Amino acid sequence: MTISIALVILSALALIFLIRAAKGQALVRRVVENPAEHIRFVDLEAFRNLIDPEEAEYLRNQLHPAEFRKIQRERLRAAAEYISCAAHNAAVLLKVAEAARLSPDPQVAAMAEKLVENAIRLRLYAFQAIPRLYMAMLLPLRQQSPAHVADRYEQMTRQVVLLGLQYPMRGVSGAL
Amino acid sequence: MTLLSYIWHGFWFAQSGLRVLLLLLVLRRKFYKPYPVFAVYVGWAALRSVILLFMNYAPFVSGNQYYQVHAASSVIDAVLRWGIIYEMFDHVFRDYATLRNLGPKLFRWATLALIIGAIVLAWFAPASGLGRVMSTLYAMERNVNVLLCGLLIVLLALAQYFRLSWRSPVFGIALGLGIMAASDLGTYAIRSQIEPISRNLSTDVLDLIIQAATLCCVLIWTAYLLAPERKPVARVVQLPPHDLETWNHELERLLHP
Repeated sequence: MTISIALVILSALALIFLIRAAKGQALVRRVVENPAEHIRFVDLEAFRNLIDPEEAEYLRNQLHPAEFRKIQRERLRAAAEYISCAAHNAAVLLKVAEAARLSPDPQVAAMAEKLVENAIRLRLYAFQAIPRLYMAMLLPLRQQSPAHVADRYEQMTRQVVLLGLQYPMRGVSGAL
Repeated sequence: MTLLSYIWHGFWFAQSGLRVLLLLLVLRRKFYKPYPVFAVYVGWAALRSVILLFMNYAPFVSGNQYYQVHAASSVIDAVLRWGIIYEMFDHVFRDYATLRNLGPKLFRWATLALIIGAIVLAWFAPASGLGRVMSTLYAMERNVNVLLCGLLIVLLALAQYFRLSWRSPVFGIALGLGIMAASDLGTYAIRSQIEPISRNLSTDVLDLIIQAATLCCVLIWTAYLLAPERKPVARVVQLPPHDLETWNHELERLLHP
């Protein structure tokens, strides 16, 4: 009977999730109307510094192990936040680019297509990188640097600027 | 017959009639072209519903015959609903080159994991109601709904994470199917454990929930299929001149980092 009660609770949670998803569909339109308002600032240079293995190695050599672990945890937490902001921005840009994909101008449509793919890829990388960073906070082993997130974000920013030259991005490029 | 029984029978009639209307709508609007599995399911579900309704009232049909048809048709129903979810995965991911291969792969792995979960569930929570035949049937339906509900949650969670655009009918089909699968899961989980030999208040309440959820699902499908498809609007407006400065600044930043 306990399993059945658990299943009833799970089914109720599934229903709530479905209703929230239906509401989310409506919210998406609001984001497309004012994309610049939803963009969060990402300092790429600071982010690159946080995930630079050489910088981590330098700190390891310079600091006491306990102090290094504490600082490294802070650095990783900050990097995870940067990635989550970049992923959030990618989601906003995805919506703008999807609208631009329908443009009658084939050049704009092609650029928007590239932006869509990059934004999805960035969210895919973020999905893999954030748990890894949190794992690295718990187990301070040598971790793989999520540099590809920064590269992809930079590429995406460039595409936004190029798309913005031909399609109204409503201040998004400035907000990035 | 109790008042509850009258209400859920009323819902049964209503959803059967609506399923036939939905089938006509699918045929009229040629929805069978983009959504063939869904169209087959709508046809099948309309036929099944009408046959079961007829058998329920026909004096020459025994209770045993009714439940045999119910059980056999439930298997086909489950396979078709699983097929609809595969169709949804395909529709949602096909527009994105990065995810085109990931979608079917995830669908296969999620199906496998959920089938294992359903087998484990069948092992640890077998049917235990006094009405053995019906309890077993409901335990099977419960396990099928674990699979369907799980797959729909995976699909919705992925689409939400990647902020993918849903075409209106696809979202409507997934939403309706999800509501039906979630309510079926909850009610069959209870019925597989407490199903009595003869009907009582609890069976009427649970039947009412199932019929209401099914009616709600068919109404959602009808509404989404009737509504014109909403696509993101490509705005062609003049570029605001003040943005030029921002673009220039961005280009400078990219060219001279």
